[in-house]
Amino acid sequence: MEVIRTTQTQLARKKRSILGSKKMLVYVMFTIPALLLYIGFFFYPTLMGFNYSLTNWDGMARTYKYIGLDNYLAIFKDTRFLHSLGFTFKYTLIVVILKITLALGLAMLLTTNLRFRGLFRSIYFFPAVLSLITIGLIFNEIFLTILPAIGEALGIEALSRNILGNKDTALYGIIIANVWHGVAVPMVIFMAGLASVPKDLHEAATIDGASRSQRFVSITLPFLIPMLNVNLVLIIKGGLTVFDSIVAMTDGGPGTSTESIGFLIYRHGLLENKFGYATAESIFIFALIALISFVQMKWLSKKEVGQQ
Amino acid sequence: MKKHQTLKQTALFGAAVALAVTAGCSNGGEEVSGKEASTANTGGKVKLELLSNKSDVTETLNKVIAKFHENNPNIEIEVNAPPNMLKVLAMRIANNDAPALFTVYPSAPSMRQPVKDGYYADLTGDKTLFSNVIPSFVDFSKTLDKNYTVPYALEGYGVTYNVDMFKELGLSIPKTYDELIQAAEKIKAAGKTPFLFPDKEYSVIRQTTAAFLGLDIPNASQLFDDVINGKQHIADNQEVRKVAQKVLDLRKYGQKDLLGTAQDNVIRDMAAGKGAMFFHGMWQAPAIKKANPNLNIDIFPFPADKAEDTKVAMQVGTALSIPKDGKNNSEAKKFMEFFATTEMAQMYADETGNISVIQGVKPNYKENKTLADYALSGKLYRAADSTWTPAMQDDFGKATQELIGGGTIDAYMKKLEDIFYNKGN
Repeated sequence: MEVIRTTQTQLARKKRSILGSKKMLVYVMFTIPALLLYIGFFFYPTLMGFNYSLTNWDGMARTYKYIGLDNYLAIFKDTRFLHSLGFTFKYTLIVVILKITLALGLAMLLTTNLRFRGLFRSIYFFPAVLSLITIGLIFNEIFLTILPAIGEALGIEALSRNILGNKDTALYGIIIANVWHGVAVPMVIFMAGLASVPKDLHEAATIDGASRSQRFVSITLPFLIPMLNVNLVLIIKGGLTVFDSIVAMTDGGPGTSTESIGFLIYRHGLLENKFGYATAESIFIFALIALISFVQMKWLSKKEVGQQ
Repeated sequence: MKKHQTLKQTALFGAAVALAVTAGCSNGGEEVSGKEASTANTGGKVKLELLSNKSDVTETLNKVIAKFHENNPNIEIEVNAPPNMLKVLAMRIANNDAPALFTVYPSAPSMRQPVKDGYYADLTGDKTLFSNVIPSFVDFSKTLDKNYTVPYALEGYGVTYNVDMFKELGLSIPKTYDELIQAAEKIKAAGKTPFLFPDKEYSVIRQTTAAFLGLDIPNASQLFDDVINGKQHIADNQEVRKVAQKVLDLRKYGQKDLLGTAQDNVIRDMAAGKGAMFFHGMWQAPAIKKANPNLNIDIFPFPADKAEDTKVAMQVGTALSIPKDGKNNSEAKKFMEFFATTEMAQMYADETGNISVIQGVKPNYKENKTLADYALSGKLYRAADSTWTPAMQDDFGKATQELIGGGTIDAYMKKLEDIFYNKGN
């Protein structure tokens, strides 16, 4: 009896393990196309890019020389690049704060019992549907003709000119266009997070006498952390790679005051025939963003609900 | 169970349809460029591609091609005018896919690298191709002292002005720089804007400032050549300094929001009669006329300090080249020769307004008449930026933009030193 049972369990285990490996095979087969695409269109070009960053290729010639790490050393001495780093980080910081607060505020408003809630949700989501170039071009006209007219009527000197024409205020023009466009998707993500907060926790807290802000900080926020994580990654990535709106609105100007990293890489690589140098800049940015994302995720995942 | 089955079936069907649609779409939308390079003879008929940067003259080019086809029925030519044509040309040449014919700018930076790399056919001394071109312009269109292109027409810079406004204020065309400033003062006193500057676009700033440099500094190209090769410094150059001051002086008569105005806005405002003068390419006049056909506009050359020194900044704007050892070079040369006949050149000049450099063409230029007179009588020059690299051009434009935005001339001169000194290799 015992012998038969052991053989049976042995057979069962064998069946499971074969089935197990069959499942694995199916999973692997499904992943291979995506893996190949990923390797072909991301991994391989990155390696090629790294290869070119060690050369002085101008993007067009048929021959080039290997110059080692000269490109990377030149980056640190390039004031234009360092200025664009400063500009991009300043821009990203402002945009992150604005987008997160606005998105969270709007999400909270739009999850209450509002009349025409569906309509308002559509209205606030609408900017995400437009392309950033379109939005940039339209804001161009707004900043040139409409805003100065308003500024003159109200008597505000600073607004009576095209704010994109002044190197100190051009940054804000770009921020306005990007924030208008970029609040929509984080707002939707936050709404999803808010929906996951259990109502009974709120009720229990109200019974215990917690104020609104205490409830928000202790109950809602921890549940929002994963959404905050996702939003932060998206917004920081969008901020650090800002490009479309700069091309549409200022072309890096006035002077070089609104050149972002992405814009400068594009200039160097494709317009100024410094392709090797531009790839070195991009590898540098890649390492920087990877570091920032890693640190941010590590820090935030500690504060997630269920982690403490 | 049945519900699941139908759901699965619909999903699969939907996926199949989506795949079919995307496959069909991707097949239909093939680009024209790159596919129709010079093809070999298939039964005597030859098809050539003319890659053109001048999308606004495509209609006229097609008329010339139609006439050519009448005389040479076995040669077909198709014009292809993509955006960023110069980049497309450079990439195709690098990939051994050069078009049979293409437009070039012999004095622009975009010409020098391919010529150095040996990609364009050397046409120096070809009697038939240049026999009908005005000899001084055969010289004018040389790159690195050799002919790599056949020139057909010039394009250049002048001050497009509002004739009605000038008449209203009793102004005559200024012949010296001082007269220009006096006219600007009168216009300003009458409450109108003398000049419109699209200073948001640094490439326009670069073009106009390089034109000033060439006008006021004799041998400006040589000066910059020396600086680029490290033989001279530019930071202490008084003549360049004077031009920088001139740039700032003129801006005092510009519109209120200099750095915020783009080219389209300037054209709009000129067409609406808000500005008196706009110094840029002669192609702006037709653009303004298109925006407001009732406006009376004309062009005069930007005056030098002394009337007799006034000359016009010109470059060869219409020119054709062929690739070195191109398969269809003999057929292409036939077309280049045909385009240089007086009849075709006359048609091109009449329709496009570009100043023809072909012999025997009667000047029927309307707004461009004064510029044409100056150019064809030898009072022309190449703007100072013709020997610069694209990077230098952009950096120069941006530096000048910063100067206009409130920088000091000292900082500007230092920046020029950074941009140009010893940057040649």
